[in-house]
Amino acid sequence: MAKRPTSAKGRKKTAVKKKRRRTRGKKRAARSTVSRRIGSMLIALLLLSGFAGAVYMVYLDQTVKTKFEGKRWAIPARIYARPLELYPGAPISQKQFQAELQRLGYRKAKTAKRSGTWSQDRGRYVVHTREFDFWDGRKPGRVLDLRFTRNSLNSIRDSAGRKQALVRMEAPEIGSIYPLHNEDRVLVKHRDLPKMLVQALMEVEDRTFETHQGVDPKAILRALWANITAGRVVQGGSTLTQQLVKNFYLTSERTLIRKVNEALMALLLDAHYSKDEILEAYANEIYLGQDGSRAVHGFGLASHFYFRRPLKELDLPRLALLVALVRGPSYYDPRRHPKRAKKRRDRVLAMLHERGLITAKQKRVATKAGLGVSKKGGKAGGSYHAFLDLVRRQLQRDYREEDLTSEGLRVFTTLDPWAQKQAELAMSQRLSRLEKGRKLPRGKLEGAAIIAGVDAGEVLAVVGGRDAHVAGFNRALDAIRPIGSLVKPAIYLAALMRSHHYNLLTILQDEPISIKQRGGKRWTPSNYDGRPHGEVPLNEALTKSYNLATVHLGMELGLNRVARTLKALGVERPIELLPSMLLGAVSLSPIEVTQFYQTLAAGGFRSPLRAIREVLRPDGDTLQRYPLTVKQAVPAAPVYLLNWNLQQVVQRGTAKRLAKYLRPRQKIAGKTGTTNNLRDSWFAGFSADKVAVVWVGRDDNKPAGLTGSSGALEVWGDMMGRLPLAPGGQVQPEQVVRVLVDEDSGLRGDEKCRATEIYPFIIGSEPTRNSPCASGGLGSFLDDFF
Amino acid sequence: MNRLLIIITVVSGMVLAGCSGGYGYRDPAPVDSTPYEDDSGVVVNAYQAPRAFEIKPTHSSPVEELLKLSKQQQSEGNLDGAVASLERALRIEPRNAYLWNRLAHLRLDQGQGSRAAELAAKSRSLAGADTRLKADNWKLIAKVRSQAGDIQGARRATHEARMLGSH
Repeated sequence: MAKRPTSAKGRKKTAVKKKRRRTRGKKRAARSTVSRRIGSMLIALLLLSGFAGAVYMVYLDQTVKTKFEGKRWAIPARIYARPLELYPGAPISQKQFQAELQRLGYRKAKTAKRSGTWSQDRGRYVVHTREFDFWDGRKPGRVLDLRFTRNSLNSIRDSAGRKQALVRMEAPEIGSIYPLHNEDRVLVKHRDLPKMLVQALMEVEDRTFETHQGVDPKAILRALWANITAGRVVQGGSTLTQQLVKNFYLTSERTLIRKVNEALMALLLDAHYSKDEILEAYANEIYLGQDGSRAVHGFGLASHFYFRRPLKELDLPRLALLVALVRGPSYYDPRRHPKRAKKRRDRVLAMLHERGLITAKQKRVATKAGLGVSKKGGKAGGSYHAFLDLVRRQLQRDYREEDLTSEGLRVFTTLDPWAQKQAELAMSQRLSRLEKGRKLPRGKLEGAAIIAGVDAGEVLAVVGGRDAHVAGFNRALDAIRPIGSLVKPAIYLAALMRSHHYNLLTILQDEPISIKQRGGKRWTPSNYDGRPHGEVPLNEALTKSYNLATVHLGMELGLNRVARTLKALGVERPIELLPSMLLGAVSLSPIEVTQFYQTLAAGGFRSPLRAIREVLRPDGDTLQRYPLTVKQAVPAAPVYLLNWNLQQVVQRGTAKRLAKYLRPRQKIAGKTGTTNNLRDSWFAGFSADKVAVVWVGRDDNKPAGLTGSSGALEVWGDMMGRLPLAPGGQVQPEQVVRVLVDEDSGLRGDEKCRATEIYPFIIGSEPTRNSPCASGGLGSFLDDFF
Repeated sequence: MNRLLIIITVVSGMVLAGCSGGYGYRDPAPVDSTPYEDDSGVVVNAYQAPRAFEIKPTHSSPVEELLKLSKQQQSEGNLDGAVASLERALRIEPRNAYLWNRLAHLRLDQGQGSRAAELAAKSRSLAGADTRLKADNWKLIAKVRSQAGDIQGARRATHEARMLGSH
């Protein structure tokens, strides 16, 4: 401070002094008081600034501690598909199995030595699985020897050659629910950090990490010198601790005050916490890339983001690349700037070698290796928007948004990724073909599909549109369209439930009808082929989807009864009681139709459709289970008759075309639906184990030019034909008997009759008399019993 | 309909009466089991349930494994775990009536009566010829109904169970 006054300011001061000298005598007395005052003010100022500094340090200290010890990060909820169950006889093809391995990020190798790898020798697979935290605890990784036959898994053995009855693969992750600021992390514990990663990180970023106190003055000076000589910033002097502080507590502005803050907080952090704790926080906080709007933080997520595998499975060159990225994730982005990234990675490898951390050979091999970056980013890497949409809606009923985006919950869902993939392929390919084959305008058709398990109501796949990769209008949940003839099974079921009045052979009138509706308007329905068919058996009317017969039947039963049946089957939307509802003037979304047909497929037992099995806390405790529930909605016997009839629809009725895709022994039951002017094309159907609904139409609600059978059925058949379906059809309830009937008379027949068919009846509703063509046609009453 | 029932009853009664001598068939239902004999010497028996078949459930090996696991979890008091393991088994064999029945019993143990009764009804619908399993499901339903105060309903269910040869 004691500088000689040489400047203009200094000269001015000298002039003032001269003036003062002249008045010295007068002011001498006053001077001592002034100087005393200044002195005390200075002391006060010093004290005050010391106090303020102390207060500020306490504030910084609090900031450091609060954030470090509190919940450091908002961890989004992670969503998993179902784990694949492996057991002898499981209907899993090799193709499907390979797809699952790929989805899990398993790598094919010559020998499956490390976890997350597999090898193949024709139908024999050796898989080294990863450990995984299931709802019922952590299951360790193991080596499995699997043998496949053509379309199924034949046997499973462990590494010691012992036969295994059942093995569960890990559940593939299909997405996360992010908070607003779009940060994501896969937390890694210090003990799970690869040693080489830690060593490389220190070598490259902070050599004295283990010994310094949070800041490294020597490194700062060294960096300063390097930057001055280079004339630009070429080296940073920040320790890992400072970098953590910068990422964790501060904004990215470059001011001196911020630098000072950073250093102070680094000192405080170092004083309070162990090096291991600091390193762990660093490894999870450091910014390492950008996935669209999602920021990739920490090595755990970066490993999945760049390599699609967990951190502990990374080899030397990949670990070196992650360390290289610390310096500039966007500048060294290995996907956008592979050359730059490789140069930087090789520099890291060279540094490791110079320090003796790797051998010359290791360095040589690693330098030769490619970057090894996976094609698609992110952990999910799939197109599960429509399904995740359903999951999110179900979760939002039970959880607050902030819990979903910050608590690190793990959500196990029912999605079957293989079924999902096949459904997406069938939808996009079939719609293009339909447009081409039927000369429809290109790109206008849209569609939606849902597949669910019959007996448990688990949703296996959701297709929300033609291009599953586009997240947008989810038609599977939100396209509410008239269902056309899909409503008919409810009417026929309502009839068959009154077994004293109706059976499958009851004669219906397929004759013109005109009904006065509310408001005086008349409604005059007609058949699809434009003509009436006269007297037809009930089963025939449904098989051929005759409108007039159905309207006669529905009016006989009463609209109320039909609406009640629909409600029992799971249609919750209020239904307007107009006669036109009998031909499907009822608007539902595909998922609502799926619920309706699930009840039929399950023999009258309704299971609410579920997309979630359980929600776990990050520590593994079960937060909530979504249990399997069933409710007998309608009696089993009439449903059995109806389903028999719906199988006829496929075998010889409006859904005959399914034969192109599916075999008779799969006993598919189903129904086509078409609405006015061919605006909506529907197909709903089921096998013994899977129920599925497909809708095809246009978003602008213009005619699509397709009937249920020429449009949606094609997608449905293609989709289900790609999946393993359980054979066996329906289980016959005890109240049902099968009787051989003479087609001409509708009475009991035998081999002597011209045409016979076995029909199921609810006991007591079957024909009791023999047809004239049958032996003993006029015979005794007892013939019916013996 | 009524006539048909009478005839079935009479005929099966006659058949059973014919059998009952030789085999020492003992399946006394507590009511209406005394044979009625009139002057003509014709013995008329009331309906007796056919002998319950001993059907030992057979399961595929993965289901067997999960059943074992479920039972172990149950014995450890981990009912939620036992339920989840059964649900896992049901995903492999959704039409296995025995699994639905086990699940119903677990739910009953958890105090979820109405859910248990629905599961039992599902089991019954899939049980086919396994009358013993059907009867067990009816008994479970009877228990749930009587717990809920539905005495009539419970009696009906108990009757159904008896008709299937359970006592």
